Amino acid sequence: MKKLLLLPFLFLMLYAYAQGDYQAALSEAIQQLRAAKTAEDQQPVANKIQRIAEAEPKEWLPAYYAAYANTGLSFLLKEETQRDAVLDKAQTYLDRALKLKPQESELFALQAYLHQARLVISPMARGMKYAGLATVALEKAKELNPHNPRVYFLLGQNAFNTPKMFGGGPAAAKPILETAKEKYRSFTPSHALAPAWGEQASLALLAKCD
Amino acid sequence: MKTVVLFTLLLLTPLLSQAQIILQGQVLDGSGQPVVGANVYLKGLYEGASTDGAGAFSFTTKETGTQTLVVSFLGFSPLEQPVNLSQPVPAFRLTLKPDQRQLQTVTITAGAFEASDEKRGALLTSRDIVTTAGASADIMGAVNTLPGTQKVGEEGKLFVRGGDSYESKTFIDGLLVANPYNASVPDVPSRGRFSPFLFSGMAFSSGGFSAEYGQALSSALLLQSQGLAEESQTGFSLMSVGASLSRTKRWQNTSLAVSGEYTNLQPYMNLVPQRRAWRHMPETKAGSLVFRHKPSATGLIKLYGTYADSHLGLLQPNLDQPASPTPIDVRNRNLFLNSTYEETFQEKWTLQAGMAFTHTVDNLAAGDARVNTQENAWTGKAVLIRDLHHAVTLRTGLEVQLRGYRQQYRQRLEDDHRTAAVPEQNLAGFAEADVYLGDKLVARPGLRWERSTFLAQNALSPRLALAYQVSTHGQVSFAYGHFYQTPENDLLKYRQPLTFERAAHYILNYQRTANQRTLRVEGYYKDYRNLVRYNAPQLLQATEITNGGHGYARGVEIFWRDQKTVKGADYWVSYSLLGSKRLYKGYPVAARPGFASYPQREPGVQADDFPNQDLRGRHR
Repeated sequence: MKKLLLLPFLFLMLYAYAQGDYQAALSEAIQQLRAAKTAEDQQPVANKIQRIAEAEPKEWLPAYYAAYANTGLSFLLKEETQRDAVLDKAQTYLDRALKLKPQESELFALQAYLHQARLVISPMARGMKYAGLATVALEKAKELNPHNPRVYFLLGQNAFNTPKMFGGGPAAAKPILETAKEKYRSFTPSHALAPAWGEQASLALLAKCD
Repeated sequence: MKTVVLFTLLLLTPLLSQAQIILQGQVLDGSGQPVVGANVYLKGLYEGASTDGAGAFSFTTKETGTQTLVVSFLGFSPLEQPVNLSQPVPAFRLTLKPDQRQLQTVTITAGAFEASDEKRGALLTSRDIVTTAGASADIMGAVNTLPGTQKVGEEGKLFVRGGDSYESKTFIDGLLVANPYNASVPDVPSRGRFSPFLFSGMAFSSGGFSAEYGQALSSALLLQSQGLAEESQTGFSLMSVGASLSRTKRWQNTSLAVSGEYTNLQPYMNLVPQRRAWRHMPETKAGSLVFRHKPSATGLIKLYGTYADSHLGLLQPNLDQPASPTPIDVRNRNLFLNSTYEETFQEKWTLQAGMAFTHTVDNLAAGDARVNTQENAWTGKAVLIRDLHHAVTLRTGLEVQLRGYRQQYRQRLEDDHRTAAVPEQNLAGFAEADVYLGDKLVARPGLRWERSTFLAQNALSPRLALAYQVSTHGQVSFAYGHFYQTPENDLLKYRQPLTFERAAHYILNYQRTANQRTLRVEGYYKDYRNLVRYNAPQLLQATEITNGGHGYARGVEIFWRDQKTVKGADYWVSYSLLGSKRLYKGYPVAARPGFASYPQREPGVQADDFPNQDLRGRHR
């Protein structure tokens, strides 16, 4: 009888083991992602996160980080076609995450980041289109969570890189990035794996505004 | 105590039960080079690794039984292989196959110039079109700077490789545009009807184009319209010559844009002295509507409608009576509707269906003569695209065109009207396949069948295009095809027994793109048969119209674009060499046509074969 009582324990433990597996593995990969400085470093981490995302098709966070890692990778690669190709991959993971959690502010912020990554590949040809798309995504992200600091960081980045004659430039970006600084300070991630990137880059950009 | 032992045992179970197996090996591409950064893993599991600089990988797994090993990397088809983990696994040697469609290492470039914001490897972007100097944001004006076109200043239309302007056709989202130019009078260049901002991509083919397009002897200009509008906005502009108002609204999966425009050149022409004696300054009232809806993640419905009413009048010098120039008055009303639907089914089938309708009324008064022309044209088309396997894409389609043309004419006010009508039904079907033969060679064979009820004739056009990659950055393309076109309504209306005009194209092309520099050299030969010919210099005096004409055009074109050498600058230079003679219309002998001469010469006057050379350059 006593042994039978242990059975639910056994299942619970196996469940915790499986769960812990995904969270621990993802958490480890996020650490590695922070440390990656070159495309050669980042590609294996992106691959690792993709493996987790492929094995956990019902979780939005692995898909989110797979999209985030590939977007980051696009900035590190040199060849245009490769940069677009990893962004295509990022977009498929982001679309998957959006299907799982359609009302998540972080996903729209990441969408804006992805549009910006497309833009920088060819600013002259793509500027108008992708700056507009990024703005639309950021408005949506802000509407879903006005306290998401990444929204203000990316809005600030958009403004910073928009030519002065179209209402952008450092002076226009500064107040937005000040808000971003505030939002980052008061932001507490809801759980260990919650998106928490962008603060350092945001502060660095703010420093350039003076 | 027993319980504690059991509990400890339970805790250890997951660890104890799993012996580790090492999986290792090397991933190579088709030519034996290591693939760096490939993702190697067991399907559905976290266990895996990325290949290192030597293409090698190694990882351990605690899984048992039969699992699937997956290798994936950008630009390659994913590789899956079963692996039995119950026994020691020998080292792998895996070869990835390139995904031809994803990589597009080799593409067919013969005869084709592409402008696209999305497609990699396009020679131009749509911004290049808008900002081309001297084109005044006119699509046709910009295309006129590309090799293979002859700039014919007084017409403003497209003349391609020794062909007349009627041999070049415009297609929007695959549908033939019956009337792409605004109405004009002799010596006043006409402009394209459509704003370049409506389009996200353009492909200009100066010959050898796909079996999907027919009814054009020389060239096809393919315009790809924009998708959903990005954001809601209102625009208002006030110019010295007019004003426009536009409103765009974007919903989640739908967008709608409406605009209205009024232009009148009077203020401008009052300021800038004109050589022409204007009676009615060019005036246009126009409106347009653009609707887009995404019914699903992969589907898209597009609807575009535009209406324009333009009017102009002037005094045309009359050579017979210099003292009394002829008053000319032109009024044109044009309604154009274009709707398309695209959907992908089961990731393998793509359907593109569309319908277009054009209604045109032209009222022309020249002195006492009056010509009123009305044309209704309806086009329906459906194309089915199917990926057969990783290296073959098949396109098949059907096209129907119904055209009703009616003209009323009288020489003097007191004359009776003469009426001419051309009812035409054109039915066409085509099939075409893109076949990748290895990673260096692609072939595109195609066949197009066409039937005209007015001519009571059938035509079968074979087409073939090949591209072969000769070096890392260079490739050679070849294109061949037969092209048929129904003669113009102005000729058909006399109801003489006519047949299709025909051209055969042979094109050889070399293109090299590296380091943001592009060199493109193309040679071609075009053979015309069955061109319409009549037995008087002017059509009005002719008593016999036949398909007795013929002609040829041959030449070499060089295009060089450099975005690298001069920092911040981007320039291109194009050079065209053209030799052409034809016997058509009222020509008494085979001669170089006026539009293929530089400087412009009268047809028939210059019957030598002195080639037309033309060098154009452009930089920013």
